[in-house]
Amino acid sequence: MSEAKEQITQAAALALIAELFSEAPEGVVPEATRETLLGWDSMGTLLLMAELDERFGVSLDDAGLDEMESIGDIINFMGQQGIIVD
Amino acid sequence: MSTDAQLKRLTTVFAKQFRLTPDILNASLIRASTEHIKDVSHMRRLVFKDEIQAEDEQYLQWRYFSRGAGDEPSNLWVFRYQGNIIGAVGTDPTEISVNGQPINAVRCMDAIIHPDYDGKGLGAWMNLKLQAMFDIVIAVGANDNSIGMLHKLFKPMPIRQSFKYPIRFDNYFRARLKPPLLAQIAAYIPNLYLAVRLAIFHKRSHLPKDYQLAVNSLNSDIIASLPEASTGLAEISAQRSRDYIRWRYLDNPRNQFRIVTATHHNVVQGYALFCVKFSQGYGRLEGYIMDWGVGDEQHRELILQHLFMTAVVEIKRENAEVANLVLNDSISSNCAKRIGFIWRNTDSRYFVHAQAHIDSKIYDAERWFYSQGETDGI
Repeated sequence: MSEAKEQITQAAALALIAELFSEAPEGVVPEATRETLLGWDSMGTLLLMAELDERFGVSLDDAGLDEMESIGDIINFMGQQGIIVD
Repeated sequence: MSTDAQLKRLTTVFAKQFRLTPDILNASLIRASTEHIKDVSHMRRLVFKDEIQAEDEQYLQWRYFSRGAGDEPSNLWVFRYQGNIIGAVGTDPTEISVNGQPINAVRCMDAIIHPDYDGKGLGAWMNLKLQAMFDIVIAVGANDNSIGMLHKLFKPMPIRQSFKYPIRFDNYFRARLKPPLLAQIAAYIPNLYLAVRLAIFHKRSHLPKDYQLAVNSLNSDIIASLPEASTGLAEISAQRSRDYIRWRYLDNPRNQFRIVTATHHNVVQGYALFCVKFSQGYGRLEGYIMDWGVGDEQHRELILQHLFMTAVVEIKRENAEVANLVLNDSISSNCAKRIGFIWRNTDSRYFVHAQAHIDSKIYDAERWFYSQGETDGI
């Protein structure tokens, strides 16, 4: 597991994603998908990429984006990159 | 954060996704040449399937390659990656009149991302690029996929009010009653009522002295007689120059438009442009009043009522079942209601972004004139 510049809890990660997607926090749960979260759009994706890169030093490439179909997938990715600590 | 700062920040990150440098990423968005039309149309069909008409390449040629690009090849932008076009957006140049001062602007429309790259930030990045390039960007034609993103990147306005003038109920009853004879009988009374109502409106209201109305197919001579000015019905509006009207409505390959003119001593003081087309969704002919303008400030509401009314009569003559009117300003709204247009709904699928040096009153929705002609659908 790589060492991110900063580490946050899973709850904080979910709150961060909600903010980036302009979604109500209660809707941003691991089961939520691109289809159920209207804010997970092109701009939301750009902002997520920027936050991951600038704040955590983690790049998200095309292949990584292809694998993200749910919020849970994003959380898993952040965990694998060492961003999320329990 | 300013638009430029936001764009620079996101370009750096976005470039990494494509394993490009920011400079190469920026250079990947170019104005299309005619050789790109086929690929763009193919991409449009991939996404929108049967919604894209058979003559789509002809439409793209007219919309983006036939006016207003100056020395540039076109007003259609394409994003190329690994030799393929994976994104495109059109920019329709216009002038927005704010306090009588013209400001260069573009309407962006026909935005499309290849399905393999959808949802990965390209659409948002292209919009940010346009916002950095042009003083005012107006996003029209939002669909369910793009509307959320547009709410984040732009300010939603003007508020689009949709009005309808029911003309006949044949199709309505045909869809609900069997056999057809029963539907025909059921439609008779409401059709008669509507016809009488229209006739009463027409008879009661008189044009100002020395005014005459005429209805014609749109042609160069009539366009040459139109006022070379904006509508004057609201403080902020896109300019409707003669060149624009010629391109938008006479050169338009998708529809045939007609025009009602109100003249005073042989000078055109007002006009309304309309067309009739078949609605696939409703299975009937529908009329659309697309654009209008009135120069006579003293009599403008009375003239506009007559222009709208005459357009409805002509739409009825072409066997349409309803006339549609989409607008924003209070003057046009009041005139439409007075002659019997019924308000149906209000939405906001028209978005504006202006650079920081533009007067912030541009974000005041109530100051805008807006018509269906602003959009890309007809």
